[in-house]
Parts: sequence; structure tokens; C-alpha cells
Amino acid sequence: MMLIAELEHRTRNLLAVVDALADQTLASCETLADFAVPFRQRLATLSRVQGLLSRAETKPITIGELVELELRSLGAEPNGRRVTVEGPEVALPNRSVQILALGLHELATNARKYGALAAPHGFLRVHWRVTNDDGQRRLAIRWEEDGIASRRTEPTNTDRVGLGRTLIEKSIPFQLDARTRLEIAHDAVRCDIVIALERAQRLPTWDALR
Amino acid sequence: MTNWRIFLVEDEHIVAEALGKALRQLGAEVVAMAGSVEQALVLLDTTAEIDGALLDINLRGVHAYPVADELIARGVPLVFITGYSAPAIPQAYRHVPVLLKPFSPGEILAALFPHAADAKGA
Repeated sequence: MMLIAELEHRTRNLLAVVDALADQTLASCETLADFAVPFRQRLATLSRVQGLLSRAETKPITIGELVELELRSLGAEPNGRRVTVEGPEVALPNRSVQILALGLHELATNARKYGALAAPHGFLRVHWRVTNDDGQRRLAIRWEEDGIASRRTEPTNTDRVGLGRTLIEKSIPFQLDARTRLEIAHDAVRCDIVIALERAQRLPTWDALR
Repeated sequence: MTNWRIFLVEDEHIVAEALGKALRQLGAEVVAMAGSVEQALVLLDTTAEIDGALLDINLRGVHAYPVADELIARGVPLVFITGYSAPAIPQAYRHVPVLLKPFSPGEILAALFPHAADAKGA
């Protein structure tokens, strides 16, 4: 009975998120034809998150795994050359996974369309470290794009940056008590996301390696 | 009176934003938005003239009933917004209307202010 109630709760909450994402996506589309691709991609991100969460009880979801999953979904293979992903193995609080995935998806989509993943000499580097101030462990994630000669489109006018910016500047701080910053210049992008790691995690952290 | 001042407690920010937009389109105003029990209790103390509240029962995995108690004590009309069906809600709150997610914006004001909605023919 408890299990069924919990399942219904999760399903209904997920439907409410899908409903809100559809609303957000629709609001930023000029025609209905513009709606399909970004909406399906956002649904695909939610779907990947469900896959991760379904096994989170036995194996915690790590930040590296989430970053790589979102990059690979857009065909950006972390290869240590143009696309670099670096950081210690850090287990994410389960409730942070969905909103972080949506935020990373918008950053990655944006990079693919206008930024480092679209530019012939662009570089994308995603790296993170764990800090410990007065016993409060935090995960500091940095997303950096460089070598974008000139962005194709004025980013502030686009839907993706619109939702991405909302997710990073409002949703993530609201839900995770995080500190975030997103700077988009004509030739570079930098995004910082710092979230609290609540409890002792099952995996060790290797700050020493950083 | 249509400029209802709504206190919104929902931990999923995208959902809260969409709800806020829907409420504005209905002529209501979100005067405070909270995503956790602590936040809600603080904002409740500093927000004046609340006409009604929408409260998600589960906030970051924590039951929001302390917020419900505070709203009920203040006489603020309250509606639960939740993914839990009625049987999961404690007996003490059976009188609180429930909107099961996902719901349509039109259902919100009717649930919060049934008499006003009747009067306006909504």
C-alpha cells in the first residue's frame, strides 16, 4: 500500500513537471513546429533521469555520470580534447538529480546549437570539486566553453537559453539551496553551480586528487 | 474581489512557476513562493494579507503538515496540491480540498474559493 502510494506520488509529480515543461516550451515557440524537437529532448532528459533513479538505491548517481550522460545524448563524447569532463567521484543527493539533469541538458543543447559544440575550434570543459567549510560539504560544478569565435545567434532571444537561464538562476537555487551563476559572452560561456551535499555520501571523495 | 493574494508552497520550481503564471492569468497574484517547510514558515510570518494557500504535501521528502497547521490556525483557505491520493492524507486534514497533480489552472480558484467561484458563475 505504501509502495503504491509512493509510486502514484512520483508519477503524478513527474506528470506535473512534464505539464510545466510543455507550458514553458510552448510559450517560447513561434510555431507549433518549433515545439516538437526541444520538448522531446527535454522529455528524453527526464526519461534518462528515471532510468538513473530506478537504480539509485543500490548505486548512487554520480555527477560525472550525469554530465557524461547529458553530453553523450547530444553526441558530444568526452574525449579529453575538445570536450573534457573532470572531477572526483561524488554521489549526488537523489533529489538533486532531475533538476541538475535538466539544467545540464539546456547548457549542452545551447552549446550544441550556439556555443563550443557548434564552433569548429570550440572547447567545452566541465569540472567539479568538493569543498568543505565548517563541516558543510559542497559540490562546485563549473561549465566552461571557450573558442567560440562568434555566437551564431543572440542568445538572450532564444528559448533554450531562456529555459536554461531560468533553471540555473532560479530553479536550482530554489530547490537545492544552491548558488549559481551563468555568464554568456560572445566568445565564451561560464556557469557555476554550487550545491550542498547533505549527508555523508556512500562514496569517498578524493579532494586530494584535485 | 478577484485580486486574490496566494501563498504558494511547492518544491518543484518549474511547477511552481507554471502555477504562478496560471494564477496570474486568472487574476490572482502569488505573494510568496516557498519550496520547503522552513521557508514556508518564515515567509508565512513575513507575508501580509494572504487570501488563500496552495500547499504541496511533500516538500523535499518532508511532510508539509506543520505549514498546513499554521495556515489553518490563521484561518487562511487552503488547498493541498499533491501526487498522493486521499487515503494517504491523515484524517485530521480530510476537510482540506485536494487537487491531484497534474491539474488544470481552472480548478485552483474553484477549490480555494468555492463560494466566490459560484457567485461569479465560474
